[in-house]
Amino acid sequence: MNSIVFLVVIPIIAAFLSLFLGKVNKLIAYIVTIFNLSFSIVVLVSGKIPFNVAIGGWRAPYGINFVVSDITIFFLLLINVAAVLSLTTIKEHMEYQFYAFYFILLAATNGMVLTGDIFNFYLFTELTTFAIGGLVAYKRDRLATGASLKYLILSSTASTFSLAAIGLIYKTLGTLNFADIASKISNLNKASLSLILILFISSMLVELKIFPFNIWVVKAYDASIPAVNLFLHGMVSTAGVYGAIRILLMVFSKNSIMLSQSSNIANILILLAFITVIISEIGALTEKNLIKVLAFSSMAQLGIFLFGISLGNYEALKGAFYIVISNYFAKFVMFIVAKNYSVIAGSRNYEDMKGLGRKYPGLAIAFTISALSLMGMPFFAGFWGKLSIVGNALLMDKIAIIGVIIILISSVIEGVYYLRISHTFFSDGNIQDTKLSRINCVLPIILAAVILIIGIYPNSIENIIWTMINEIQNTPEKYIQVILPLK
Amino acid sequence: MVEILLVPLITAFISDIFIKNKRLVWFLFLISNGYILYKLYSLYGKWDLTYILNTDYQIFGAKLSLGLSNNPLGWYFAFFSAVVTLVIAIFSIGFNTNSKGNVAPIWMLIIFANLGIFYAADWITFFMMWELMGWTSFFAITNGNTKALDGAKYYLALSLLGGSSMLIAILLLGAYTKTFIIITSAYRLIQLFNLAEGVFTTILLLFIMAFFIKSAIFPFYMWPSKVYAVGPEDYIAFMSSVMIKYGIYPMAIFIVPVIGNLQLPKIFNAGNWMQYFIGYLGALSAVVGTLLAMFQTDMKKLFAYSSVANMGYILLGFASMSIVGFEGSLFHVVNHIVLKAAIFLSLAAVVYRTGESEMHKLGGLVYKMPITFLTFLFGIIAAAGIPPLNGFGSKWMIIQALMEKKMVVLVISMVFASTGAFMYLFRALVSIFLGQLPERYKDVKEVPYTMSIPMIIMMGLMLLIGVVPGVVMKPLTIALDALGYKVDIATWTTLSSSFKNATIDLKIVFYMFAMGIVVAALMYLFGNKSETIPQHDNYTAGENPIEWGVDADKFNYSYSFYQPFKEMFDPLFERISIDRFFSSIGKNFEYISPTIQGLYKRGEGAVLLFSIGVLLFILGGWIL
Repeated sequence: MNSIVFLVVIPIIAAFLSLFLGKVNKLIAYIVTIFNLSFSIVVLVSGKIPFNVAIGGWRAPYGINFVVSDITIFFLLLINVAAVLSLTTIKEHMEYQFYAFYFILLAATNGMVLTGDIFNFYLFTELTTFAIGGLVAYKRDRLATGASLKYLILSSTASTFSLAAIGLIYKTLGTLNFADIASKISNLNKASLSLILILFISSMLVELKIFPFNIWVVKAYDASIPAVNLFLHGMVSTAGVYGAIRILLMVFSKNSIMLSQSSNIANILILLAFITVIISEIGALTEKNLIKVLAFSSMAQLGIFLFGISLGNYEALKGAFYIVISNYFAKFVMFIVAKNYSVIAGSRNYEDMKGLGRKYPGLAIAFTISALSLMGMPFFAGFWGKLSIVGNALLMDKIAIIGVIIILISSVIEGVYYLRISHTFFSDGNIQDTKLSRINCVLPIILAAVILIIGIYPNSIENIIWTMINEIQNTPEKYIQVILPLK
Repeated sequence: MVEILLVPLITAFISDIFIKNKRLVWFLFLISNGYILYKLYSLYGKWDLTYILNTDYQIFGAKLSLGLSNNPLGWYFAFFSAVVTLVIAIFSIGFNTNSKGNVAPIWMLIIFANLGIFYAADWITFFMMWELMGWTSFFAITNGNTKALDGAKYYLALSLLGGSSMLIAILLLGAYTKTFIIITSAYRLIQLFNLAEGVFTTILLLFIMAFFIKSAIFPFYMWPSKVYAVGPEDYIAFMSSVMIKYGIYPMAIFIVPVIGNLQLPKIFNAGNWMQYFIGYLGALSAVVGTLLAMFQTDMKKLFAYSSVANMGYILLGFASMSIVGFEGSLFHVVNHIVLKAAIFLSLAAVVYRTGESEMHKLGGLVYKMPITFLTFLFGIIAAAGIPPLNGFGSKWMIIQALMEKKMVVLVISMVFASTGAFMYLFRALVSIFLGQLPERYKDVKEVPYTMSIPMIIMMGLMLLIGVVPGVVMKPLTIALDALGYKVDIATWTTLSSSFKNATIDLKIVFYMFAMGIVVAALMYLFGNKSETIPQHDNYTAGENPIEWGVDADKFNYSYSFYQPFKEMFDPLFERISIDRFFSSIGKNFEYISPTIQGLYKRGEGAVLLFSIGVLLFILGGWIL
């Protein structure tokens, strides 16, 4: 399976070509993205998972390697599906800059998920930052430039930190390979590990949109075009989630336990997680701009995710996966609905979208289903996540219980603002005579149906999630030995 | 067994598709409700029916399974709510011919949740249905009406809060008792209570909070008045009669048996502190609900507070923890379902014809809408607890049970509330139907047959239950017997009580009242004739109110009817306003919101905040 590198290489080649191709770019973008998606599916059904590819024949601890395990392939699929779905929302003509950045983003996010080397991971993260910076600024107005700059400044500050962390790792452990680090991490003394974790996590939390590090989020979402919103949500966030799972839970965890409860880092992560949740929900409460509301809410969802993985309990981790999946589909629906409705209403203020739900009920119902899923209402995917996380956090120490209470209170706030928006869609209003092609309604309805299916029938996804958790539980056998078979 | 849930679900789906075709949708609604009633009737007595759905979903190390069971008490609640729902469904066909929105699909989903709540065998199913009911009722109340948003938002926030507190309670209960089955968890909770007293008390209090929110018990008593005033009237009839009982049902199957069996220290040899906690909150809701009902000018708000008071009576019966009180409470549940539905249907009829729900703007409708008037009259007689109609028997049983347990303060508050009920009920009757007909309602007609027939049925039901309480008490006692309570199966017309020689035969009471009516009719026929004068004749002293810059309506005697009485209680309600407290919490969140938005709008502090975050990590990692 050496050809797995195509997932990164082909988009990079396309990025180069897109500078010259002009109008064909759209087609190329579809071809490359669908290639990436179908290649991931081929890998999934080939039955060879897990496997390890040493680039250039340099064996694992020495060279760069790409690893495909259960978690990898799951996130690879999520990212590539997101890419395809986001492309379908692009109707107008885009210039070559857009496509060039898009291809870089595709390559970088695929690379982030595939790589088994921490420095390589850092490089791909940088590449993502750079691509997103370009994509956000694509609108070329004051707001977009500002948002892009803000994001770039924060990300480069973060990357300094992560570079320092990587340097420290290399200094102390003498290796950059994930598997090698994971097997040697127990030799590291506590102080060095803490320092490395502090530096690395603080850089990673920028992508994860956790509170003191997420000042860029709202502005970046608001300033960018709808397709870039979807890239940010579906590709970058998903890759960030993958990074958190891989690095926090599998690489930097001693003796294959997750960030154990005793360590202060986990407690601080819990603290930051629920601060993020409450702050972003309150921020969204009176916000009128629909895109900003969604941006706030996506921070909150990632906060709940972080809360779930920091608890150090496998069932809570399962809940975190449910939250990721529910948020992944729900935000897709919501961004597409927001895009379509804002085109009709001529504004992003949801109060101008009165009555659109009566004319286009499919979109409004899909939006409502997604909102209910994010609130963790039963019969929708998010419920199972909330159930697991809340249930297991309640049995933990005090800080987790406080976290649960805060998260539940903020889910009440979330309910109030989301259902208010849904209600606005369904209320009486003067609708202009604009035509929206019914095809635009199909995709949100399908995605909403997925949320509903997972919610009613959790068996559909439960076993997939347990396979991934199983990989985290048995990191030495399932991950380290794939890469370093000699040990 | 499952089809009883599938039918409303499918109906909801179909009517969602044909939402534009009102006639078809409401017809489907009626058919579906008829089927549910028939099915519930056929389920009577088959208490062993269960349906289990196993999932692979793992929680607390065990696979989750969701279950439904034909619980006798659940059947009792479900059956009588289905009877009333069917009557309201007939009413809705006529009522909705001209309505703007169409609430049928979402209402059908609520009926699905309704049956799910009453039939849930385990807490997770119960919670799923509970939350479904919460958000669907938000949409049913607003129904696309922008004015309804504020009240509905208030209701939604409270309802989600209750849901959250219940989720914590359920998960703690599941973790400590290793089961989610409602009955089993109750048994284990009683057994294990002394091992972890703090946790189990927390669980019970969290449950009680969730149930009290849904049933509008004292600290959460404001939402009915906000919601009933704005929702679609026919749906509100359902909500005020059936939906407000959702908190009562789990109280009856879980909280009351558990608290009754806990070995807690007793206060004054009468009851343990939890019993008193429930009792005093019930008493407070009865008193506060009654007082607030008196001061309303909107008729729907008035009856919203009357519901609060009635929920208080039910809790008082529970608080007695005696079998008579328990039966009385459950009997009052059905009585309240029937009488509140009747009252709200007649109010819906008034609104349908006049479009007005402020009482001082109405009046004299008795001449124009006699059937509506009669329904309303029957309803308020029942609500006041006057014998020939229902509502008397259950109050009688509750007061007896409280007396037997020597809970004197609770008895006093209940008697106070019942007496106060006369004041507001009479006032509503006078303001809406008696007095003089305003000019603008000269052409008002009686409602069409589709709406008057359900009202006649409701009158019949109230009279039937009032004279032959056995129609409710027999199924109730049989259900309680099946659950293992030591009860005597009730007879058709007599009500037993906890004291000796206190058994009453309502048949005889009915004959006495029938005689009274005959005497009154004779007096009316042979008495002096009445004299008609113009409406604003007698109290403006020759002045034209318009010249004084006030509305003639304000001078109507039914505006601020109990002003002196209100002034008496004003200091109390001025100082203590739970409503204001809850709203201020919401307001505070809304005030903070722009601050946080500003944080994300401006970018100056971005790197600073970043550094603060890193600092926090360093402090946490090294110093803590």
